[in-house]
Amino acid sequence: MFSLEQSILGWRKQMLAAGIKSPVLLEELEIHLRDEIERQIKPGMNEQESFNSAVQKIGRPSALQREFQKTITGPAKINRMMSLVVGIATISAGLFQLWELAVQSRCLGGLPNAEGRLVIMFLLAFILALTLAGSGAILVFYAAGKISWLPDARRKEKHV
Amino acid sequence: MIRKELVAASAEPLILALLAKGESYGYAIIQEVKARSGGKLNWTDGMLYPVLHRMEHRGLIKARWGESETGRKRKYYSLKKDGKAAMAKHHEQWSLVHSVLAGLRKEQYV
Repeated sequence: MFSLEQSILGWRKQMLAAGIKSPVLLEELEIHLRDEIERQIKPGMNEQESFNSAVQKIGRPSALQREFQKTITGPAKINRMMSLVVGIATISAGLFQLWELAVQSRCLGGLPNAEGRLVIMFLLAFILALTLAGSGAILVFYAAGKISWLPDARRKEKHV
Repeated sequence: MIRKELVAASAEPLILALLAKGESYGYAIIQEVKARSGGKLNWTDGMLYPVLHRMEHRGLIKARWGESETGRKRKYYSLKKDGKAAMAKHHEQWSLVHSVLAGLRKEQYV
């Protein structure tokens, strides 16, 4: 049995999966979808046919996402570019730290009374390396648009 | 049917011109363009929204949430000062293209 509400929910999930994550944007698209379904039901089309036709008319989620991605301009674009640069630099620093750690542990490992110091140094350096690499990865994901915690324009939208 | 490149190029001036008549929302904009072009200017519905959002970010239009008579939430767009200036520029450029084309066409039949 066709359920319009369930189908709209499913359509929203497809949009989310394609990367359209802004609740404001999703709401605007859903309102449009409902308007179109309503318009088609009036002349006698059934709910399922109207839903399928409206979904087709609104466009493929991946194509929409590509278009919305172009909306990111100016400061938001610079923000993402900066994140990419800082992210790559931080990952490099993390990897360098890990490399140093490997070299140091080999050198200090040769000293007979350095065992305790070696363990502490190793742990501290390991935590630092992981933190740096992790932060860098988060920044790179942000720059690629996979995650957004500073959604510039989107944050502005939420206050509309 | 009009070629998609021309449809894309004409989206911004058409939206600006429609909003110059008063505030409107996505669905109504699409319906009006469709009606005025006799169904020949056919946008993929969803593609209007990225254009509207880009224009909003560029400061040409502004948006506000409101409610329709049926109680449905709607995002209304209206023209800003920069939008009016952009519309005038579009009008000038499109008129120029039109007059060149019309002149060439006229010469063909003289």
